[in-house]
Amino acid sequence: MTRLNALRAFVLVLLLAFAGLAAAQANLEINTPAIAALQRSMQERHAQLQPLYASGAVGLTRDGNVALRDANAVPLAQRAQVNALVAAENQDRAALYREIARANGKPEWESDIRATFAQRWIDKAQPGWYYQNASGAWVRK
Amino acid sequence: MVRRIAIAAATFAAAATACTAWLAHAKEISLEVDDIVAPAFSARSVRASLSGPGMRELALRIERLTVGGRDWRKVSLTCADLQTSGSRVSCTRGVLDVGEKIPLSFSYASDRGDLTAELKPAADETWQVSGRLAGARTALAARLVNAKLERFNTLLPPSAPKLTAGRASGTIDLQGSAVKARVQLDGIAFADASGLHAAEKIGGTIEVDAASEGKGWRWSTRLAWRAGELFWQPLFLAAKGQRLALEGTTGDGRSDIRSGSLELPEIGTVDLKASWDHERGVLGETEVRSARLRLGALYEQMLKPLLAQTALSDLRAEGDAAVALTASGDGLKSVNVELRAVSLEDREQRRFALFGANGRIPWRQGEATTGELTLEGAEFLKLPIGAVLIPLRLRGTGLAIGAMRVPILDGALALKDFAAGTTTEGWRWRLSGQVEPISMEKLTHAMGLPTMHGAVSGVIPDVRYGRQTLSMDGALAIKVFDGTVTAHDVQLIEPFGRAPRLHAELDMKGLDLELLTRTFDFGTITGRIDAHVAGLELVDWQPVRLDMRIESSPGTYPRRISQRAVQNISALGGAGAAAAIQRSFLRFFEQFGYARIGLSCRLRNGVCEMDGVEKAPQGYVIVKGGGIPSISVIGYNRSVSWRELVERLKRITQENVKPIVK
Amino acid sequence: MTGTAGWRIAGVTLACVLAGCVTINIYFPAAAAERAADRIIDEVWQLKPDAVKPKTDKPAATP
Repeated sequence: MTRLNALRAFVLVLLLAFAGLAAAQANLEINTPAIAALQRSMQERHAQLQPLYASGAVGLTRDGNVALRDANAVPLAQRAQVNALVAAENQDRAALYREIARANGKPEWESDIRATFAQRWIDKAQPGWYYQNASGAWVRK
Repeated sequence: MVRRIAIAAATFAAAATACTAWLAHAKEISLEVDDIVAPAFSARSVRASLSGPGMRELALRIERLTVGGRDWRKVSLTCADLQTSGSRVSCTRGVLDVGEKIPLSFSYASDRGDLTAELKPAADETWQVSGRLAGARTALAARLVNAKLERFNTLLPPSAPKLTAGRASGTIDLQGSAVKARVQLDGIAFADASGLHAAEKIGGTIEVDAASEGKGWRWSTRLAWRAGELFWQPLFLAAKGQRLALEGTTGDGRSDIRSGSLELPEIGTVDLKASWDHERGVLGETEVRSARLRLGALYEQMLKPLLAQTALSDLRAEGDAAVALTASGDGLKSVNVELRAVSLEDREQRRFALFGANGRIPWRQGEATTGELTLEGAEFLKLPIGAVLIPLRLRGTGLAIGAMRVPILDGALALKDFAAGTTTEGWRWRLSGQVEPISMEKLTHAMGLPTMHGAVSGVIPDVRYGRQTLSMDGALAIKVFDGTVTAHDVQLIEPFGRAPRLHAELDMKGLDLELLTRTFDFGTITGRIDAHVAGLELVDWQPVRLDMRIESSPGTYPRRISQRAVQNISALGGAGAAAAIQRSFLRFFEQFGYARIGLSCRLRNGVCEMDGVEKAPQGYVIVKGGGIPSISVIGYNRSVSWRELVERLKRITQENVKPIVK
Repeated sequence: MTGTAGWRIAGVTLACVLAGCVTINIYFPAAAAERAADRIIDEVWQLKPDAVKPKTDKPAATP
């Protein structure tokens, strides 16, 4: 019994330690002109991307980008435009991940930040949007 | 073609005799064949039977039919009224089952080779063949009426876009060894899974004439594109009545386009010659030329969709280009471009424009060439640019310009030793030169800035661009406000990105404060200042880090400061100080004397740590008084948000547009 | 003895599962990064129009 209680206490301490570690983490610096500029640019572009997410033409990739998934839903004349939108969005996203890492003085975090974003974009995506699962297959949310 | 059929028939006969068994019953004759194998054709488990009264019911079943690598399972041909009289076999109520049951009728006279066959999959759709099979004198005429093109999907490789709609009508005639086809296409649509190769409502005509000649064929074809749209990543094209005519030969493992012409309405005509080696899969000698391409229509029809979301997405283009290029299996061999009266203009945003570009750009594989471009004028960020002569030197992917003078307002940018090239890491270029004096009045006026006095001039040291970074060795000097501004260690990272990042060190010497304050409507300060900015870092053109120090220049000169300037400096520290002056007797003086002015800012994380010329009780001195009447300005707040500071400065320079001094 | 050893292993594994230590990289502040990502995504996708407004350049009323 005592052994079991000790074990419980140990587990509790371990949990608290991890919880404490998480809580102790300060916020990341994201209020820089570069991040603000990228955020603005992506926000403006979102008005054009939103219907494309909804129609499934564009989906969220597992590596924190967007990709052309099925352009058949887009009128022919606008498909080149969709390509350009996807390219521009990915350029901004890459710059965003790099700038957040840089703003916090840790350029080596870039890929971790990208991975975090990849997950959060997908978590926050609206029902009906497409995203890539861990094996890279498209899934409708 | 005729020869092929003969070979297949011979093989069929051999295979059939080898493994057949005649089974004769009272009411049925049946023939069973295990496999029939021929080049590009095989049939497995073939069973044919004749049954019924008078043996008039034919049934031919093939378990698996393979033609050209495609498979059909359970293909059957049945005929309820097979008639045989002498050498003639005919059937009027046949059915071909290839997954879809298609009514069929045919008749064949084996003595003369006369054949007619008709497939009628739908009331409005007919596939018909009639003529004579007679060796070299074979003459067949095929007629298509609304033939559904989706039927050809099974013949296409799996990776090819799938046809989803489309009809073909027309005739294909085979006379001995000559083929003539006249086919009209309507409503063709196709798409691949990703939608990157797709077309809708395509309509047009195809004409082909071919005749065997020696060991090969001589052919000519004419295509006309009448209706519909095509997206073939990354190109989007709409039908404008484009026409392609080709004439050539095929045989001996190669095809030659002896002459070809592509007519692009509104754009121009492109002539071409080419050859293709089938065995090695390589392009032979190829020549493409156009005497006159109209760039306006070329941009609108073909380039605009490609350039969406770039700086070139909304251009007005004018002028002509003549283009000639030659290529072979190892790539481009030569390119000649000649521009005539070309103008480009950023339509909405007016960021840039080029007017009256003329010249020639020659390029040869493995050879150095020289060309020349002239510009009648240009505009860049609202700055008018005069006539420019650009002497080009080209070699491989490299481009060099020895010297060029770009007139800007009343001065010029004289550039020399420009050299550019591509590497695995993208574009790299370098240049150096100098700025011939440009009046600041004109420059600031053209750029919509407050009028400044003085002139920009200076030496542009070695500027290099590579790995998305622009860097400058040496110092760039600008003469402005009667003093000098030098920039060194300048580095601009990702200048064309969303958030360019600039690093620089700045030194300003002896700037005339009177000119400076007048320009920015800050009141009047007489005197001179020096400024030093170390570790300047701008991101998206906003300062994120700097160590700045401004102080009165050493030397003897009049030092006066107006009441308004004092108020404005005080206002930088907050609203209270300015009001305090207004309430005190100091408001009666227009001007004060001062001994020194100094302010420093150490910007980190959006906060400016400020200091002045010397310490004061609980603060620091920004303006140290001197003379009569004298005034000192003391700052108390050492940490000021940069954003707040900029806002205050903006308010001061904007609100004080109307001068108080009468 | 074997029984207790089994328990101990089970206990540690449980802690790992609950605290997600499989994915936590101690050197990378995953929770903070997630919060930062959420704030940016909310703004880019306008998910909380009232809570998160883009910063304006309006000056403060009083300095």
